[in-house]
Amino acid sequence: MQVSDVLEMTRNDRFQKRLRQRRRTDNVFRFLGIGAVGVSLILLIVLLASIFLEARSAVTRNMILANSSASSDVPEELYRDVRQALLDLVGDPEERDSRLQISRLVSQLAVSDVPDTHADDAETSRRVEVALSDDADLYLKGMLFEVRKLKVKTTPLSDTVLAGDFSQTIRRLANWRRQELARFERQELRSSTRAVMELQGEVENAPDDLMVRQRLAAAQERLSRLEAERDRILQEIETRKFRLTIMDPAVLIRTPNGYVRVVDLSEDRVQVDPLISGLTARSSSQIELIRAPIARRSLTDLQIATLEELRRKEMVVSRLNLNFMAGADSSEAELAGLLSGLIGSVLLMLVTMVLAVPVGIAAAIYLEEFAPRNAFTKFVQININNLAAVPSIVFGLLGAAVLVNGVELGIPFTSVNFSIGGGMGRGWPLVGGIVLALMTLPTIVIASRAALASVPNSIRQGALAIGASRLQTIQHHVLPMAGPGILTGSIIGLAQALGETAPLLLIGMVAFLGDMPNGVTDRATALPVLIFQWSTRAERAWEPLTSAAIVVLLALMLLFNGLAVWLRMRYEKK
Amino acid sequence: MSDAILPTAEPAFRGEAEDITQPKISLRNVSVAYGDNLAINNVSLDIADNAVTALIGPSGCGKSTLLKCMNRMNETIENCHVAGRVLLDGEDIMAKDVDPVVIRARVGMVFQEPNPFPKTIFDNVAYGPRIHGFAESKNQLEQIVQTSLMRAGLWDEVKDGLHRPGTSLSGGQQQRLVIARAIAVNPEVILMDEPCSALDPIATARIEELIDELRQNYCIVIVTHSMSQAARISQYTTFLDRGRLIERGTTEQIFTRPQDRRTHEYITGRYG
Repeated sequence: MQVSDVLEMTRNDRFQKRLRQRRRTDNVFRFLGIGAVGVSLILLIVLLASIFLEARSAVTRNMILANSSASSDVPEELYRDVRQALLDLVGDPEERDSRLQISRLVSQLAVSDVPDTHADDAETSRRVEVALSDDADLYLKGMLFEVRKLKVKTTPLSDTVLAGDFSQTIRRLANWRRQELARFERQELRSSTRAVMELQGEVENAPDDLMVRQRLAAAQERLSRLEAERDRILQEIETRKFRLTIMDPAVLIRTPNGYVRVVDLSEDRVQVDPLISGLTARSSSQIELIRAPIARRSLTDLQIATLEELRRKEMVVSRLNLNFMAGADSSEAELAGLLSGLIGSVLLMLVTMVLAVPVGIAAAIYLEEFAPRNAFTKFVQININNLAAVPSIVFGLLGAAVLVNGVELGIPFTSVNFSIGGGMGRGWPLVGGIVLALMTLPTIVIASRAALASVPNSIRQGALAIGASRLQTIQHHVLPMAGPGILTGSIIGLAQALGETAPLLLIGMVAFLGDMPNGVTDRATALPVLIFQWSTRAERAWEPLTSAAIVVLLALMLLFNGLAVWLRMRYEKK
Repeated sequence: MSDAILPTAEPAFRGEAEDITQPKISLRNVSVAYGDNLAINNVSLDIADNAVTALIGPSGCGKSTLLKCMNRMNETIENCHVAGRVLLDGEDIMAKDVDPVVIRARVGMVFQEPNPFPKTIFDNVAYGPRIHGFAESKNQLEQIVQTSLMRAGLWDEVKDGLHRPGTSLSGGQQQRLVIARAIAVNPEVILMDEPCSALDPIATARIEELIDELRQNYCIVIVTHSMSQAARISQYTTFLDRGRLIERGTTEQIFTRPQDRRTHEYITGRYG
């Protein structure tokens, strides 16, 4: 074949077509790759953004500022003073229920949380800060439920009647009611109608069955009750006169010096129930429409009014939630901190590191540099790879069975019994560390072996040819070259262990602990376990705390991985 | 298992048995097997001191394997079995009680690919003396490094940058650095496994000059693929083919009056 032939060939149509086809496939592949990267980036950003946005509100917490004459040694006295200040704010109500509602705004365990004190007037009284309860805190952060505010000019006609233009409020309420009515008709009414029809059918089939007749009567009564309810709602919408029940949105009116709750509502006047103070002054008022009915929210109208009053009197301050980083777990969200989990995780990491890193590296060096390539080492290698694929929860079971409980063994048909292991306590970081070390070991061995294998053989030969012993060769040349890889593998293995939850649950690091662990043989919990526990707690306030704890865990991971990258860059330059 | 396939009979080879009265290295009935694959078949050979001996032969004939017998580097290869005796100054280095570390200090080796350690030039050369404890003081170590680099003809090029990494040198310089590293241990023998095959002609010429200079003080055994190189630098030449020693003699005799047909065809480029 001559050069001109080749040139001719590249010019013919078939060749050109193939060439175009090839370029097209290349492009398709490139776009798919970019698409894949893009999708994962977007998912990552969405995930991080949602966590960070949720966690943001856990950075601060709201505290009540109050004067107290109590000495700081007696937290109960402080608590009493703060509670009294709150009660005074709303006119020191007599009813037990109201007093209870007010008291619940202050964190119930705040007594044990010795508040920050600022000497104001050293002799008589000091200003103290006490944490608000979690729901109150969330309300003040505007995260608990939506509050719509409307400005209206009002004039009090009597102690309980207020005149003004409430058409806007009525319109909103009517809208809400229509929606509720639609839902009501779709669900309760329809199912009730269907039940009546079915029962009628049964009565036709067996006209003598008394039981069925009774049930039909009951169903009909229920249906008529529901229809009456519907008619009432329709009529209220029609006449634009509302009587508010606990199933309705709350309408609160903030007067210049107090708070009232609307009971009856029409276009030009409302009947109210005083919450704080009454209707004394005449001026413009602010209507607050809280869409969540009282039955569906965790704060009562009185509590909301009190909080608003606190805010108006500037008796709440937003403080950095240091307790979150420095405190132990608590059953009250406003007092919960993750330091106990953090300490537990550090202890775990210490045990894991001390066990897994030297053993893993030594195993890798032996397998890669010394062991003969025979069936046994092949078997060991395959099993190390298998070990890396074992679900972590299995390691947890192993730890619980062998380290904590001990395994009872017996030889069948004899009376010989003996037990292996056991004796360690549930929830010890030592046990968790051993389990995590077992789990991390394969990762470290595999990464270290890969790093050792990547050292060129010529370096080993060069050292051996000068007369270095095998160990000297490894120590002076192979290890320094494989070091960054081994280090990266170890750190990634440890980072993996840091985020591990399942095995720790099984060995009992999951219990609620209000204290810091004292050492590796004390009950402890770990950060990921704490996150898991918090995420299962019911109150709304745990959500931002969980997210914030996740942010801390992510930051730790990032720190670990950053360290790995930094070490690699630093040592690979040479 | 593979020891069984190693032959022990007296070797038969042709060629003028040039008189080496005091051989530095003597191979006696050496056979090497990789697993079940016989790489060296019953070779006996004397190697003269203060001379360059070239091992030539087609690819896969066992030149490198034979070379590695002389400092027991074969031991570092998995599945490699060696039979026969290798005498260094009359002493069997294959004996059980001989430490290969001592042998490798006496018999240095330079490889095909320059393989400086990823350390400074100084540390590269000083490595051998350090691990063997040859230098009693820092001054002495510096002296050894300087002498070795001078002998390897690299001193003038690197004396201002002894703390640069050895891997930053050019290929030819790296190979001379590796030679200096081998010299620093003050060996008696230097084995070279195709030291110039990865180098350009100018670097090759420098290495060849260096080998010629080193001949005064060392026994040098070199494996080479280049006939012209063997002819230029060696005094003795040994031709191997398929694990057998075919012919040996002075370089002049091998290249001018080869006795064996295969030798003749190989050096004239018609074989191998």
